[in-house]
Amino acid sequence: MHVNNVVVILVSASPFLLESFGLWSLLAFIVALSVVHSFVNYVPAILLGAPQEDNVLATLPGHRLLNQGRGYEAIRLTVLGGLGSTLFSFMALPFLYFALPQVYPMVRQHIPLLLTGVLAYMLWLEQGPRRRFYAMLVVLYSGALGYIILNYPLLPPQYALFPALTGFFGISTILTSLRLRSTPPAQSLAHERGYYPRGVLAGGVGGVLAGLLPGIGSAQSALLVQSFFRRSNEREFLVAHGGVNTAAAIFALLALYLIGNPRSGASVAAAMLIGEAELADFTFMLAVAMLASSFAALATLLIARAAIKRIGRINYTRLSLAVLAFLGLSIFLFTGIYGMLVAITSAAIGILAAFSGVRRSHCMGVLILPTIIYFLGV
Amino acid sequence: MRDREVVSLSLAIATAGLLMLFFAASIAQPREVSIGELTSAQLGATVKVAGEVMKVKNHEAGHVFLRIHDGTGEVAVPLFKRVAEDVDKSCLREGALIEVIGRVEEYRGELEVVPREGDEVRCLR
Repeated sequence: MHVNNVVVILVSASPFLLESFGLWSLLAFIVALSVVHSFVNYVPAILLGAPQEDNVLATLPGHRLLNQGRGYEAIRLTVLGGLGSTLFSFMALPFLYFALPQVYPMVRQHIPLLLTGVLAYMLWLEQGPRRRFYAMLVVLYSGALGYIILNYPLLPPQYALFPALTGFFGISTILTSLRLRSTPPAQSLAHERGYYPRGVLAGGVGGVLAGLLPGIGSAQSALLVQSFFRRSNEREFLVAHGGVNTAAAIFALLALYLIGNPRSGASVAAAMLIGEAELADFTFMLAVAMLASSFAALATLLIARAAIKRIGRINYTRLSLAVLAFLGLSIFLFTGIYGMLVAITSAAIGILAAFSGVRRSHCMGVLILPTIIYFLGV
Repeated sequence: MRDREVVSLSLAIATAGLLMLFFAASIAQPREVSIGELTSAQLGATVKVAGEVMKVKNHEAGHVFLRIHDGTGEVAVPLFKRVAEDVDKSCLREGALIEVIGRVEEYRGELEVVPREGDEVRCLR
């Protein structure tokens, strides 16, 4: 279940919850929920290949480290990025406080151009005409799928992206690893020591884009960040990716305060509870976010350690099949027969990317193309 | 199965899946809801609402902003220039009973139903 689904339930129950717990407790709960989620959700994404919209791109480098017996290190790197970007956010706030109201309207006008540039850059990074052709095919197919599911009433809107993203990055990864009979080797808790300043900086900047700009969510921002790191730099990339989500959660609160534009599920909920955010509200939410990120870092590492110890003892093929069955059942229950069709189609596109040798991240066309079309007003 | 065969098979499945979804999308009907039922949980969903036009505001850029109510609540229906030009003009008056198919969106904390084409706004009276 995504944090936004929990937030919807909380807001629906807010008349009762406000009476029982009060405004500030509920607000703190919602902010902490979004920050802690930005840390903890890397555990299933990396260990099981079961990502959500926000962390899909971390699944592949994370999985590579898992296959080297370094799954814990992969999760630890995302935690490092989350903590680093929390610090970055705090330091960048004074600058953004003054710059954002001036820059925001200008950038908003150029979103289609910016996203088209991102796509073109990603295609250019593929080597050779054959790979570029397949990459473009994956982008176009994913974009067509995204356009259908986001513009037609086939799926419940709150779960519209769930079957597509699960198919692209979860089901296709599991099916590929089953075909290759890949079982993660024995896992170690050892990790390389390092601070990865480039990763922290990239994560923070990515978070600024995701948290403040219309049309760019954590997924698109991570795509931009990813393009700055080659495969050899996957550790730096995981740090950056971990940073994007946490910084985005924090900057979304700033966007709510400065430009009155809630840019995340949690800030939409906060806006519903407090109306127009004032300095005192923003300061309170920021303090909660800082505290929550410290707690989340510890909790994620503890959960990852416990999970890593168990993953070596289980039959990975059986676990993969169980996860597949669980994903299939969840998709059917939440999105029905059309959701199943979307999942099968997106899994086929994900497998197409994997076996034609292009980055599976081109599947993010599912969000980018519909966003470009939306902002062009077509 | 060789890699090239997997690529061909996955391409065939993806194409067939997209074609089936295009077909399903072309015949899918939006859910009919009363205005009072609209909540932020439906953001992004396409719905059908019907109600009486309470207020019509013409913008100098050609946009028309309607406000409709149905007894359970009221909601804004912005018609952007391209859409407004294609809407039957008899719908754009106070007291007209209209049916609107549109996407649920939020603007400045308020829900609105935004049609994408002129024929998604229909006069009932």
